[in-house]
Amino acid sequence: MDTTIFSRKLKRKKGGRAYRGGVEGGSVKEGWDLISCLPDCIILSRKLKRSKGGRAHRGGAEGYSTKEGSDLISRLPDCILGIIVSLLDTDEGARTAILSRRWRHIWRSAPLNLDDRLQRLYTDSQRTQVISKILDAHPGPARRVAFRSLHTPSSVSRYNDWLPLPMFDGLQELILHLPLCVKHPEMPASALRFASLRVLDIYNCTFPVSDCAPSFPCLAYLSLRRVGITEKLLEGMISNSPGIYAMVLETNFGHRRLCLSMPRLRYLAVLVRCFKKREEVELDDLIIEDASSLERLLLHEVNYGPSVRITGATKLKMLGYLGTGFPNIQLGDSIFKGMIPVSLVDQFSTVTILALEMPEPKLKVVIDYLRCFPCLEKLNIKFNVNIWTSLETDLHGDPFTPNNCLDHSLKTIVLQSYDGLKTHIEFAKFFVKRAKVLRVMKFCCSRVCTARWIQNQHRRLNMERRASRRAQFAFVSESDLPLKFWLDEGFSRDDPFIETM
Amino acid sequence: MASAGSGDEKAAAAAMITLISSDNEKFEVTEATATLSQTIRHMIEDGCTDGGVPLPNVTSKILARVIEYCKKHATAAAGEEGSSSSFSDAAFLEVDRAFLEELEEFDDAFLEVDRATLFDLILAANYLDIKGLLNLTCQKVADSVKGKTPEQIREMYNIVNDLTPEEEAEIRRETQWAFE
Repeated sequence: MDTTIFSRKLKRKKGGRAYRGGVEGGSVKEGWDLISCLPDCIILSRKLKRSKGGRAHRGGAEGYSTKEGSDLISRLPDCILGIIVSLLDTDEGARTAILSRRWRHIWRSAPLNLDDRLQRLYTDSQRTQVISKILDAHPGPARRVAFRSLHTPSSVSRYNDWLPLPMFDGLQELILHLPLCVKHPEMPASALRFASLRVLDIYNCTFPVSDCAPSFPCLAYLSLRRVGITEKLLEGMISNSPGIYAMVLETNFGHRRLCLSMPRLRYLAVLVRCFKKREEVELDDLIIEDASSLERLLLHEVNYGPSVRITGATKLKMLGYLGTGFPNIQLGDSIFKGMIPVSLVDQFSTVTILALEMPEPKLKVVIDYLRCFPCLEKLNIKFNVNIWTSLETDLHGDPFTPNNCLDHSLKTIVLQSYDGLKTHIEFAKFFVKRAKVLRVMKFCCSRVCTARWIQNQHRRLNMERRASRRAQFAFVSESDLPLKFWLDEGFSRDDPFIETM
Repeated sequence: MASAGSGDEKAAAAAMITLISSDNEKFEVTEATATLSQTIRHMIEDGCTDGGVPLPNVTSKILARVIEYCKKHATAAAGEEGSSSSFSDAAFLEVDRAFLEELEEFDDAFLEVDRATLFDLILAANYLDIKGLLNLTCQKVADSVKGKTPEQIREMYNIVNDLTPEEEAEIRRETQWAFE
């Protein structure tokens, strides 16, 4: 159940859902309707009662009082107002004290949600003062702590004073991002003391040396980015936290090979956001055994990624970007070497979304993929020139043999960094001509798309003779796409592979 | 022997409980559905559910919605509990995943109610101690006040500001950082 809630929370980040309909919309009308259907005496008595101010702290579940006047929210007992307040940002939560006498003490009595990303801009010293004030003003306990806005080593050292406080003992969510500086920061030792954590998100620090791996029996979400940690400690921590269902590993170091058994893992992101091989010991091999729940395997590298081997991923739905920088990706017994399929043993008919990142359009490679993923509904291909230039495939699939994916399932194709020149056109033309159930083909162009140019593209792509009469073709200029990192919402979006600038 | 035991368990799982709303309407639900409520679970454990469970704080209109929620979530919860005892991990995961997406859609639709109903659902979830429903509904209220000024929140929820100017000044002084 808890994990359900958490995934809902992840999803809510999409933004669209949170404010939809219901509560705000039509509020006035609801209020009026309610009042108008009450007998006069009730309205009067309520009004009188309210003017006396005698309503505070009534509490209790009084379902029969549905038709009370319009200050409906004050019908909720303090403990529930507290839950609501602790779901708000720190300053927003504290501000509810000024709503009315009833609300004055709610924030203090509710579990603290302490996030140092406050609405106002502060210098480090001002911010540490504000945090100290919050910790003085609130008696605890704290539910969530997010420390990520301090920049100088001296202010960051205050974490060592704050995290050991007893008010954090039952902490459920910890977000700890340390600032980038010349010397890689050490993680405060007390950051690992919270056995009740459900969310742990660490950025840019080195784990303290220890023989004893921390244990988080309730942990659902683990994100480690630019983190230094030994193989033994990380493997131990993950095996001590069997409930993890979403995990992000990004540009970490201190370990070369990880072998994890994670039968509950649903979402996994493995990223390397570093252009060069670094001096530190880096992850070369990631092995996830028994990934029987894995639905999303999201991969990103700039030039160098680790080899990834996943076994038992019978529920995999989304995969990508498979790029040339991953020396070896092995799914079951199928092997992709530098993104080239070299051994296609399995068919992954659960996968519906596949994303590829290739330096140049290579149709044969893509056709091999389509054979391996026969039920694809969406194919996203990004053309991206990197240090690995040429793609050669040894498998010789005939592009003209019937293909389940092209004939029955592939509905959406997105081509990113499409240049509209000959090789790209030849590549795209194949899909125009062969994808029989295609609905949308989107071209994200590395140039400005004028009407005339688009018209010319239509002609050169032979769109008149498309295999799917229902297919629509869209051309967008990449400079019009949002400037953000696709993976930031990779777990929450229905389709993680969004087009970005 | 073993088969007799599991037969008993099945019989217990299919046992029906009668819930009686404040306006005296009776609802027959399975024990699995009813025990999503910790309050009712404890009553069952104490053996005081014969002749029905009166719920004087919940109207039939709200109880019907709560039962709708519990029915939907009961199967997922059953899988979750099973994982620690009789089911294998894999079986649990099967159940879990199959329901997860459907549950989210259900929850979304479930929350499309007017404000009075939403608050009644919160009160009922609190009284019946249904953690998932309480979280869901409270998040909905929190989302509705996010990004709003105190004045906007008061207006939105018709909260009467009964603080004296002195009290208000005191609060601003105490938590100055929140008002800067």
